[in-house]
Amino acid sequence: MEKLSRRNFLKLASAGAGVALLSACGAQTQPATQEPGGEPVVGEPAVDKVTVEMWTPHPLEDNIGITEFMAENYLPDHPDTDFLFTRVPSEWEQKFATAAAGGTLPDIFAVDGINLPTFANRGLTAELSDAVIPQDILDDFYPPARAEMQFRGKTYATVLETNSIALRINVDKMNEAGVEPPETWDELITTGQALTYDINGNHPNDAAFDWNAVRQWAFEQWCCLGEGSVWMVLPWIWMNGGQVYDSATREVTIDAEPAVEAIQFLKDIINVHKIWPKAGMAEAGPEGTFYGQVVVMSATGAFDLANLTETNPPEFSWDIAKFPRPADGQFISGVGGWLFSANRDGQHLEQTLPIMAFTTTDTWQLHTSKFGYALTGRRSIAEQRLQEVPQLAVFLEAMESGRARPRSSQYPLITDALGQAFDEAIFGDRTPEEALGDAAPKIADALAREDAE
Amino acid sequence: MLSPQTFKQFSGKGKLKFDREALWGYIFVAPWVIGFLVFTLGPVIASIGLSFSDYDFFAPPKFVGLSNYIELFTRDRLFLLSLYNTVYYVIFSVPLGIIFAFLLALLLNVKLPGMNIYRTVFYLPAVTSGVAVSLLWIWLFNPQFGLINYLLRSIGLPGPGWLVDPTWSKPAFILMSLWGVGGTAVIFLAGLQGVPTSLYEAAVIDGANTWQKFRHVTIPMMTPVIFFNLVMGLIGSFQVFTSAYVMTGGAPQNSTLFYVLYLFRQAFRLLRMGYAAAMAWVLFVIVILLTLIQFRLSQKWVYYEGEMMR
Repeated sequence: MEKLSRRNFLKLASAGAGVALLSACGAQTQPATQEPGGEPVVGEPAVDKVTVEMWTPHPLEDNIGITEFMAENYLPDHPDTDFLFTRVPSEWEQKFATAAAGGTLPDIFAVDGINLPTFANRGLTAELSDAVIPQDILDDFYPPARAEMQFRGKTYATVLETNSIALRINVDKMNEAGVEPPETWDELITTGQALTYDINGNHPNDAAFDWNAVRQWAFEQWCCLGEGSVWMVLPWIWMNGGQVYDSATREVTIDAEPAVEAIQFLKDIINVHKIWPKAGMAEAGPEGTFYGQVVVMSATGAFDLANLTETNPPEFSWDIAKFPRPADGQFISGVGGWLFSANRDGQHLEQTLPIMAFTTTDTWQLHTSKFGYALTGRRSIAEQRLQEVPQLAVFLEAMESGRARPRSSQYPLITDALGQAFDEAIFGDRTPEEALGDAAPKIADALAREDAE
Repeated sequence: MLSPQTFKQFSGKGKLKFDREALWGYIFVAPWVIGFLVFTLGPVIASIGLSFSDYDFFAPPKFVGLSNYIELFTRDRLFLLSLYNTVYYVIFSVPLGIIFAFLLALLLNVKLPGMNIYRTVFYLPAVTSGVAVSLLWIWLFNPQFGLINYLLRSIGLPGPGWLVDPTWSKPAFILMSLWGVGGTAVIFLAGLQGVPTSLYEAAVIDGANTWQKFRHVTIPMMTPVIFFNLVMGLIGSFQVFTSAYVMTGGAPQNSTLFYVLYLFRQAFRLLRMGYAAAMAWVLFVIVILLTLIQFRLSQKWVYYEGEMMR
């Protein structure tokens, strides 16, 4: 046999690589009527089976065993469907956006509730009519969760998980200080000053209080730039009667008095009353600020109940309380979460829409709400869970009165303006009037862009 | 690549004849060339066009003329702030990085038993994932529980807030950048080992002491390496991103909002691809201008062995 020269070897190798590359590009799923080996199934009617693919950043395989759950509870009744779950763990925003731009979105994808208007307005999400989600099911969703599922009156998503905000409270520390959870803003100040003290035991209203050496803080909430901060700050504005803009007239009111007062209050509890760390978040060891008992009252969402009750229960007594409200205001929580949307241009809408419908059924909702995702949107399901997890009560009350963030297809621009203004006013040197005054025209610009779309 | 051997002489009819070897050469380089054209040069050229457009990923780009550039320089306060943050970082991290790397290379050039272990240890940060390094430094900078403040407190100094204090956040990043000078130090080390021993011997004969040898032999001979590291360091520092993205996201109060982080935010958070493309081209112009200035200035202080003494 002729010896293979190096040149011929390289030629063969490159040809082989090219063939492999081409065949990989052209790889398709096996037709459902064939066994993996290619042999046709004999004796059974051929079924055109399609694979419906789902992407989420959430570890649904670990959390809810989604593949097994679908195999047991959905697929047997839908012989034309296979289901494939893919987790997109990091940089999902870019990956989803580039997939959308490239027309390669999967059949079902997770979308943050705040981004649904952007996706829906660009025709990326299929409308879910009454035939997919019956009206009685839709009505069972808490109003703010339903608001997140919809854009301009049409439903484009179902709920993967939704959350309201409340305070987790270290009851032992409260008892030690002889105080009750605050219900009003004034009580937050007095209670906060009793709970906050420095390494020498001085409280903020003591002359010797050392602001740079605080051992225990009364309060903290997620802060400082980013969507989480906006989510946490907006309820303070809503509770004081303010809003970002009037959804009917589209007049921007973020720089009006109620919003300015609310931001001033948050600024004051840092700089004047000194019960919230000036950096926004307290510093703590690996346990974190609440578990490490550095902070007594800390904002959280219903998703945290799994941690608090099962995964990592604290070594102290804890409870959930509503956020304090102005003396003449009412408790309003922020509500937001993750949704499922169906790709409007997906090739398997016929098989996809029934799965969307399935995510609103009792079977799906009860199963998923038991695995860390404490709220899945429907009131009747949440009330069943309340029997097992009584700490849900405050979060459910918050779902009733809570609000979704502004439903604009230009929300990214709006939240950017808000986040910057909140950061500069609450933690920086600018006055709320200045910072919110800067944000207002940017938000008006964003709304104008939306109108022009 | 196109050496005289790769193609034959022009034929009488003026046609270029490739021989088989040249053909195979082109076939082998084709994947890289195609990849470069499609995935590098193409997007670079496209980004010029995008910088004059309003493009949000989903709808086709809409031509807006110079408005992205005008907005950058007239209405976007954060653009100027991010530029300031980045320049601040570059001004301190690049010279300090070069000085530290040079000193480290001098130490690593000493003949001691086990020196290869030290060299490996100091080079390790250069090959460690930026995200992992950032997470590590978050803990080191923790004001209450971090190692740095623990050491400062142990000598009676109050530890700053580092990443949560706008005054100290940029110095924190500069300090962190010094930890990763191993890569630069290795280049310096190679340069140091290339300095001819005969020059040191001649200096000794002339009566030079250690400092004089360093000042008049080592440094002049190392100027091309210093220049290389200066240029590369400047380009790299202008693109600081991973550490800020992981550690602060631009906080506190936008004090660590570096240029590329802000560009990323415009592109992928706000979906303003056109605006981000304009930012990228402004950065390119800044970096290339500074690089050209460095090349011009290098004529006054960089000594190349092959050239005549000025």
